[in-house]
Amino acid sequence: MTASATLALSTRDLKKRFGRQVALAGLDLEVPSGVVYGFLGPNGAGKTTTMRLLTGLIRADSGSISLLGQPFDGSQRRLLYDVGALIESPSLYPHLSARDNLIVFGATGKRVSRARVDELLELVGLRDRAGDRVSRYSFGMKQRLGIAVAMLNDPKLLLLDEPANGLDPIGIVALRDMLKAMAASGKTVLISSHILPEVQQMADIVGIVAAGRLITQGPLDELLASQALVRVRVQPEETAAAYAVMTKVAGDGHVQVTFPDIAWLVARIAADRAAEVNRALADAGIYASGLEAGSDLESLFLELTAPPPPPPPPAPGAIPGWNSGAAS
Amino acid sequence: MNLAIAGIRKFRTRTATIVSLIVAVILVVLEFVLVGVSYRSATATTATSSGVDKATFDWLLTFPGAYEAVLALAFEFLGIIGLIYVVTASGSEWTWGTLKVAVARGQSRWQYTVATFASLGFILLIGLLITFAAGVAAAAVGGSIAGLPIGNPADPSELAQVLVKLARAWIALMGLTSLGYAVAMVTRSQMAGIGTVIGYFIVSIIGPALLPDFVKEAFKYLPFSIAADSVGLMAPSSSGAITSASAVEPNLALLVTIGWLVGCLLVASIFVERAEISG
Repeated sequence: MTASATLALSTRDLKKRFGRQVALAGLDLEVPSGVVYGFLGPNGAGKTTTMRLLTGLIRADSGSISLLGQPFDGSQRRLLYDVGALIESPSLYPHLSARDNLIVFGATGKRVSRARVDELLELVGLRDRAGDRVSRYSFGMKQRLGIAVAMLNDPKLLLLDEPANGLDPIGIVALRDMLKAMAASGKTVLISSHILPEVQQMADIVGIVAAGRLITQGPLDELLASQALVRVRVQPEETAAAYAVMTKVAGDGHVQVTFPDIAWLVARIAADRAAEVNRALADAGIYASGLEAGSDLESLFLELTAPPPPPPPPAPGAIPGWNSGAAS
Repeated sequence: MNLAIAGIRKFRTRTATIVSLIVAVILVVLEFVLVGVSYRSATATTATSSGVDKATFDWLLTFPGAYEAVLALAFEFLGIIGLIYVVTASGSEWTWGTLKVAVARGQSRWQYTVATFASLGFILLIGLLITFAAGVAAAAVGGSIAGLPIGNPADPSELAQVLVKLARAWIALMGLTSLGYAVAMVTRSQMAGIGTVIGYFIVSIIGPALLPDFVKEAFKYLPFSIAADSVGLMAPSSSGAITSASAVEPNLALLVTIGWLVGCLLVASIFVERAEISG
């Protein structure tokens, strides 16, 4: 992932402030060609700011961007002829039909044929309603049209900010299949989403940002494999005892209570040690009502983007938890 | 060119376009019908009207003078309505985020800014022609109600003059509305644009009464007054004679109006070119 020729998109030490607010604090992204890249981060992490920089809507304070192998600082607008973007919510003319929206936007940037407009209406499932005013559309239909606008120029690089917003399950599956097919054909898709299971199903590579910096980036399989976790659910009153037992097995600082109300505990140890954890709990008279081994994107995301935990206070009744603001 | 044609496509079916046109047509038509009715009532009650009033009514309702009256009213109403319309239409490029989409597609910002105004200019031209045609018909109806002769509406030399003045009125409308366009583009908001324009309009009316003479003189060259003067319209004077209605010589006024048009488009283009589009 270092040869820039194979990168559809890269940023180096990208910085952007809005007044006193630091939006990006030195972002280094590397998005290879021909993949679906999951661009993840909590609210305010800098995802949308990054998208705006990548499309020339705003200018970076410092750092560099490379789009499709070419340097880009916003002034090389013709590079965007090969880039499609849906940033935040779909921006459309509400009084126009879907077809007219596509024709009007098709007259900007790289010119688009009427045949392409019809093709896209078919692709996003709006052909039957193509003549209706957009103001009469549901949010999901507007989202589909926004995706069609992003794809007008048959882009080599597609940037989608929360594209599954408002889509029904059929729409989400269709979107997933479409994006995978695009990647398979050599195009690159960067998708920002909060629907992590969805990203997990379609992304080849993920990058996780927080506070304007990249925390981790790499093939999804490798990242998940590196995040060995065993999750255990016990009765809430047994949380403290289970915490102590699991800490003995996993070691200090490797156990966290993710949801204190329902008493899920997570031990950061290899998945094949799940039986060992279960046995230790049983020996202590604690019987787990749930036990899972392995990892998922949501856990990885929460682990990487959570605030740094303070030292553990394993006193009874004071069990730390990620989502309670205190952690082990 | 493609961009401007696409712009016409996006503006032509807007509710604001249709409502603005209907309001302008209704106001002009109503004005002439009411003038006809007033004249008829006046002559019925006083048997004769004064010479001055008679000259004014003749000018308003008898061709070819009625062409000037129709154009004056169409320009006056379209000037205000068109200004609000242009501010509304251009401000929505920001509020709807459609400018963002165009820029993200690699569209040149200044070309988009100029082409969008060109599209609005075309819509204004169509609006002017329709309002003028409706006004001419209304003047004929008003004259008929008043019992005045229609005059000579087909005088070739007068018609040529009317066409020239229509063209000047269109340029004047564009010069006038370009101010609203620039304000909407700079403030990125329909409401801010309309508020600024109304504020300016009020100041331009009140200002001359409160300010020193040399400042009053400058007010003649501000968009509202100079645009009206650039059309080169005639109007009945207090003595009843038909004279120029312009405070500034029409050709000079036209040049100043074009200067405002170019200046406002320049300001709008430079602003959009440099703007950080975050909406």
